[in-house]
Amino acid sequence: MNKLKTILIVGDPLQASITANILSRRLKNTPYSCSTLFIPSLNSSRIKHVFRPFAPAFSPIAKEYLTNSQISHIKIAHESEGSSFNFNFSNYGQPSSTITFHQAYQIANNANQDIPCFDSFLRIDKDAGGFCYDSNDTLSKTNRINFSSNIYNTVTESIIVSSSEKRIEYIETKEEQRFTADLYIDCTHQGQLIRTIQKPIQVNEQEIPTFKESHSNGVNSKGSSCSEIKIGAKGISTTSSTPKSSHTAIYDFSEKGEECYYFRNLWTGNCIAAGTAYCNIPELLICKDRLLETQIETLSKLLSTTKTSSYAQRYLEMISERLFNEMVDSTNLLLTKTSLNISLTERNAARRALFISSAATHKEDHSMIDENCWGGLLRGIGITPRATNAIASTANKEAILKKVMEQVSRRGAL
Amino acid sequence: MIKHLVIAGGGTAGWMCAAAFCRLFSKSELKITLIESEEIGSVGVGEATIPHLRYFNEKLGINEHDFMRETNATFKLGIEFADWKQVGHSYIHPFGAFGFETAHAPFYKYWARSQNLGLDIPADQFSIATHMAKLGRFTYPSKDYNQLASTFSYAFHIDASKYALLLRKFCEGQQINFTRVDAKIEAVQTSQTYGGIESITTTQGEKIEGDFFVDCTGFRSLLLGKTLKVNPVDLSKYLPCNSAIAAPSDETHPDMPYSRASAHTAGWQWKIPLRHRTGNGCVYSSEYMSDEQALEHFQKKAEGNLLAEPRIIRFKAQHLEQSWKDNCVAIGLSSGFLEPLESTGIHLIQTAIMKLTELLPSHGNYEVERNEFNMQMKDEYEKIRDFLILHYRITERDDSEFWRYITSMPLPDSLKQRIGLIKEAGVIDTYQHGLFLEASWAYVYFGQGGKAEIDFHETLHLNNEDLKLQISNFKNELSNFGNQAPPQKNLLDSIYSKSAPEHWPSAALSLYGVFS
Repeated sequence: MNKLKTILIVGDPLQASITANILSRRLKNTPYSCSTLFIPSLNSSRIKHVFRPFAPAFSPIAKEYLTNSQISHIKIAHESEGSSFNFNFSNYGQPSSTITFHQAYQIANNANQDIPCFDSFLRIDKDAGGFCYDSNDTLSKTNRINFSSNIYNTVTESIIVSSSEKRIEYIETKEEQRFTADLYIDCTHQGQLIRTIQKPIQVNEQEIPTFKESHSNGVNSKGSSCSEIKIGAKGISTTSSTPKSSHTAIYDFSEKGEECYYFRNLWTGNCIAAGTAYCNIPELLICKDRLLETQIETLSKLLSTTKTSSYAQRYLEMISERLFNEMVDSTNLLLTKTSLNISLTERNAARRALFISSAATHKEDHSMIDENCWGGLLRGIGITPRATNAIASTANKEAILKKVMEQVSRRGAL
Repeated sequence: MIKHLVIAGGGTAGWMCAAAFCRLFSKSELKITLIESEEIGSVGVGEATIPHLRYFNEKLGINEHDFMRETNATFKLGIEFADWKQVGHSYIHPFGAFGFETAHAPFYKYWARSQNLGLDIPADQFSIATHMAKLGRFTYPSKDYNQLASTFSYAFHIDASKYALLLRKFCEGQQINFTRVDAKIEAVQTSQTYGGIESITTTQGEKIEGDFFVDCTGFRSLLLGKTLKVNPVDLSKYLPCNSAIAAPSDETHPDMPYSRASAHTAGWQWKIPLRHRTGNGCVYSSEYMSDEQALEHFQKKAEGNLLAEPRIIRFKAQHLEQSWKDNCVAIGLSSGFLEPLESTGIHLIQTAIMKLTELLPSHGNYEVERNEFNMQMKDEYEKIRDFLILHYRITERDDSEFWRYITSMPLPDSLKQRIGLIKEAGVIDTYQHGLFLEASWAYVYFGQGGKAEIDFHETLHLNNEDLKLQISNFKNELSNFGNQAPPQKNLLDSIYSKSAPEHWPSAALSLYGVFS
C-alpha cells in the first residue's frame, strides 16, 4: 500500500466543500485523504443557477433541487431596449438533415416576418433546463455528506501562506495552527495560495473591463424559481431565485475595479487553483461552482499515487482554459449590449463574422456552450445573419417555413 | 449564389463532389461541369473505406446493396495490424466501441488494470466486430442501442474506380444542369481583378468559365497548388513513407471481412479483399527501401496471380496550408495526403465535401467561410496525422533503420501530450470534432503494447479477482456473439444474387456503432 497522501482544500466554504465531496468519492480507494480549511469570511449567501448536463457533484442533491427550484431557462434582458431572450445551454430548434436551425430560421424569418422570435424554439422539455440553489443550503448538504465521509474540517478567519521554490510549504491560520499537506487545493478568492507561486494573466480590459461587484439578498414574492440577467448601460446584474428567496449580484464596469484574470499554470508544484481561486470573472451564464466541478472531476482522474505528471498538469490547464474562455466570451458578448466601448474577443469576432455572413457557426471542442448555443447568444444580442449558406438559399422556402412553424406548435411558448 | 461550379478532375474525389452537389442543389439552377480525361489514370484512392461512407451514400439516396454490387464490395469490420508491435504479433482495430459504457470510468481503464494484474486478454477482444472478423462472419449491427449488438459498425472494401462510375451514373441521372467534359486540362486562367480562378482551357481548346472551382486533380494539385501557389505543409519527418507499389491479384477471401496491414522493415503492406479480387500494396519509405526491394517484398506477400503489372505511386505526407483559396477548394489528393493507413483517403474527401457544402455561402464573398473551412480542415488533418503516427511510434520494433528512426523521431507536441497523458495518467484525451475518438486511440495504443503504469483508482471499487472475472466473462459474451453470427459469405451471396432483403441499418457518422 502506498503511503497516505494528504490533500488540504483551503478557502471558500462551499467551493472547498464541493471539492472535498468530489475527491472523497472519486479517490475512495486510494491512499489520498482530504481535509478542508474553511475561511467563512469568503462565504456569502448566494443563489446561483446550474443547467444540464449536471456535474456528478450535484447528483446527490440535484433531485431535491429539481423538485423545489427547477428552472427552464435564464431570461437575458436588455434594459434600455426593453427586449429579452431566453437561454439554457441546450438547443434552439431542430436541424433538418441538410440545414441547421439557424439557417432554417433565417430563411423562415425572411419569408414571414411574423414568425416567433428565435428563442421560442429553445428546448425546454424535461431533459433541458436546470435549477437554482442556495449556496448556504448547498453548503449544509455537502458538509453533511462530507462529515459522514470522515473529512476533517477546520474553520479559520484568515490564513498566511508560506511558500518557496514554486511549492507551498505550510499554511498557518490566524489561530496559529499550522497545516502541511502533500497537495493543496486553493479555493480562496483571489487565489491566495497560487498567487504566492504564480502570476495571474489579465484578460484584455477592452474585452472585459475591470468591475465592482456587489450583492443583495431578498425575499422572492413570486414563489417560483427563476434566473435573470439584466444588461444595463454600465453594468450587468444577475438575479436568481428559489421559491423563498432571491439574490442579486451587480457587476458595475463603469469605474476602476477588480481585474478579470486567470492562472494559466493552475497546477504548479503541490498547489492547484480551482474555481474562484483559478480566475476572477463576473458570474453570468456560467457560475464558478460549475467551473470548479469540471476542474475537480478532471483532477480526480489525473491524480496519481506515485508521481505528478506534467502531461496531467497540462491537461487540467487545457480543460480549465477551454471553460474559462467560454466564460470570457459569453461575458464579452453580453457586455457589447452595454453602452461601454467593448472590443470583441478574437474568438467572438470570428463567430460573429461567420454568423452574419451566412448564419454559420464555428465548430470547436467546447465545454458548456455548443455551436447552436453560440448562434442563440449572437441572435440574442441582436446579431442577425445577412444571408445563409448556398444550400439553404436554394431550398424550398415554403417547406422550410412549414417545418419551422411545426416546431413552434410542438414546443409551445415559454 | 454561385452559378457555375467547375470540378477539375474525376476520380473518387471529383465524382463524390459532383454527386453531392448534384443532390444537394437538385432544385437550383446551379450548373455543374466536371472535366476529366480517361487518358489520365486515377490513383483510385481508398479501396478500403470507413463507416462514414455509408452516411454519404445514404444522403445521396443510393441503395446500399446496389452500391455493393456495383463496386464489388465486401464488408469491412476493421483493420488487422500485423507485425507492428513486434514481428509475429497482430491485433484488430475494429469499428466498434471499446467494451461498454460504465458508471465509474471508461472501460479501457478496467481492461488496462486487468492487464497490469496479469490477465492476458488482448484489447481487441472487447469489440464484437473483432470476433466476427476473425471468424469470417458478419451480421448487421442491431438498431436497438440497448443491445450489445449495436456497439459496432461496418464499412466496405470497394473497387474505387467502380464507385466513381456509379457516382457518374448518379450525376447523369439527376435533374440538374450537369455536364461531363472529357478532356485534359491545358491551362488554368486566373482573374486579374479578384485573384481567383477564372476559367480552365482544355487541350481541345474549349474554355470553361466558372465562378467556383473544385480542384480534384490528385497529386498534381493543378488549381490550388500549381496555379494559386498554395504551399504544402510537409509532414514527412513524422510520416516518412513516400511510395507504394500496388496491384490486384485474383485471390478472393470471403472469410475476411477486414483489411490487413502488415508492417515490414521499411513500411507496411496492405491486403484488401474485394468480392472478385484482392487489392495489394506495399507502402515504404524510399529512404530506407529501394523500389527493387519493395517490389520483391510486394511479390512475396501478394497471394494469387497478379491481375496487372505492379505500379509505383509516389506521394509525400503533406497537406496544403489552405484547402480553400479565393474561389477554389482542393478536395482529395490535391489538398493533401498523409498515408494509406487507416483508410482515411475517402473520408478526407467526404469530410471536405460536407464542410464545403455546409459553409459555402449564398453570396460571393467567401472570406470568413473560407477561414472557417481552412481551420476545420487543418484540425482534421492534424488529428488524423497524430493518430497515424501513433501506429508507428508505439512499437517494440528496432529491427531496421526505418524503425530506429521512427522510435527516435520528434513528435508533434499534440501527440506527445496525448501519449504522455495515457502513459502517465491513464487518460485518453478525446475531442468532439474529429474522426478517431477514445475507442480508436485505446485500441491502437494498447493493441500495440502501449502501457499506462498507474493504479486506475477509479476502477478500484472492484477487487482484483472480481475485476478479472468480470472482464473474462464479458469477453466470452462478445466472443459468443461472434460465434453465432453467420459467415460473411452467406450475406454477400444473397446480396449479389439479389435474394437478400433490401434492409440495412441507418448510417451514422461514427466508427463505433449505429447510434454513436
